[in-house]
Amino acid sequence: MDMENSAGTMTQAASIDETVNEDRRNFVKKLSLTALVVGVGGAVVECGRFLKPNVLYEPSRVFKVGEVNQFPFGSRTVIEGKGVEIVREKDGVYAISLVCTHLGCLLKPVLNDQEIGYSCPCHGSNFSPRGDVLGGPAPRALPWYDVYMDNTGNLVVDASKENQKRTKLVV
Amino acid sequence: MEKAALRKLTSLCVICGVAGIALLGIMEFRDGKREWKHFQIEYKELLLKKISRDRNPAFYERVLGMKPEIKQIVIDDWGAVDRCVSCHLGIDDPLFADTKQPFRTHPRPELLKFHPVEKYGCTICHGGQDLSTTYQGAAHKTIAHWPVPMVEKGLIQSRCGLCHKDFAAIGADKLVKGREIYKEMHCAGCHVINRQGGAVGPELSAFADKDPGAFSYAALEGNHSKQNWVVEHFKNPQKVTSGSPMHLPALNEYQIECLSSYVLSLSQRDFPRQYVPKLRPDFEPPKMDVVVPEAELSNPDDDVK
Repeated sequence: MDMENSAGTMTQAASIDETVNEDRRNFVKKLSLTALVVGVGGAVVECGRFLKPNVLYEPSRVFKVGEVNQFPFGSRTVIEGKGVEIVREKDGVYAISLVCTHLGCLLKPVLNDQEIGYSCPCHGSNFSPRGDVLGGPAPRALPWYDVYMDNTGNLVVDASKENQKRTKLVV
Repeated sequence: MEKAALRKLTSLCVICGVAGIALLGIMEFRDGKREWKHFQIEYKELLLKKISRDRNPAFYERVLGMKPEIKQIVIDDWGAVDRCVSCHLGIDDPLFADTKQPFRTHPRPELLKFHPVEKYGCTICHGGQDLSTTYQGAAHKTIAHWPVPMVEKGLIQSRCGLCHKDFAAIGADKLVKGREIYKEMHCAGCHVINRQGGAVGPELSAFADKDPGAFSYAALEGNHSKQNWVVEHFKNPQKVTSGSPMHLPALNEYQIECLSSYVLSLSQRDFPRQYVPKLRPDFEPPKMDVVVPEAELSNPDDDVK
């Protein structure tokens, strides 16, 4: 009886030992897997960051265009080399892109026509003074860019951000 | 699979995983510790204190949303990518006139008016390593393997002379004086500038464009830069270039500075039209190989400043 009893406890102890071992093994397995996934995954993500450079060798898309009083009311001023026109009206200032949405030619402001504001010399797209397409192959209206005034009183155009609501900057 | 092999594989996985995580941690730590990132965060705080939301809400919001990023001025015309403005953030902002460096406004705002930072960048006048984003790497002081360290204050006029050939018109007193010394000592007896002068010594017409690597710095005291080479050479030509037949009277510090500025301004670089300064209609390039009568030679101690 005693013998049987003791044998019973022994097998019980052994099986507990076995489950503890099994638990440990599972834990270590999970831990190693997690460490591997986090480590390798993180390395892959960080390598992926190289695909998007911090900065490119190109002129900044945010640029000063000059003091506000250089743009009198009712004026439309083409900023040379930037493909942007600054329009100042009674109710505010805005910057409109002069790059045709068709194939990227530089638009020509039309001065002698009430309705047409810009015309493309390449394929003849016409845009209204607000940039909407009036005709020709251009698929989209001209984007307006974000404009703000900095603390020195200079107007700054941020051509990396489109002003989708077409709000004018009140100065 | 065998148990032993499985165990080995598991421990390999653990080691690789932990090593990967450790490397990631080091990378995050080091990437976040870059100088310019700290400066940009500090600049943002300073700027927010100086401007008010009521006066210019759009600008205030923009400043609030500012994140550290590399700022640069790209000038295709001479291939400069000046990242100095990543730290020198208030360089053309009068609000930062008495802030500590690197935020302080340019000490001569009237010069920036004629040479807007966006058009000229920084290194064309100041030298230094344009692409660098650290204090040391930008060559504020001489560094190894970068040929053009930042120009010292005393020689800064030499950079004006790269474009401005009419020294008097821009008030470059050191360049004017340097040219006078050159004439007085009759350097043109041995050296050629713009096809005028003798052929004993090396031609100096494009001295500023000369590769700094072509100079010997072995006997030079102090910084190994072309600027320092010129200064030391005027102090004692034979010491810097052994066996040089060049001889010149003892000059005082100011005269050496003037002469070095002048020589370091001699450039034949072509700048695009929009960067070339206008000349007076009656401007004539000065004749260099004229002999000044000895009686008119000035005493070196006359013009100590």
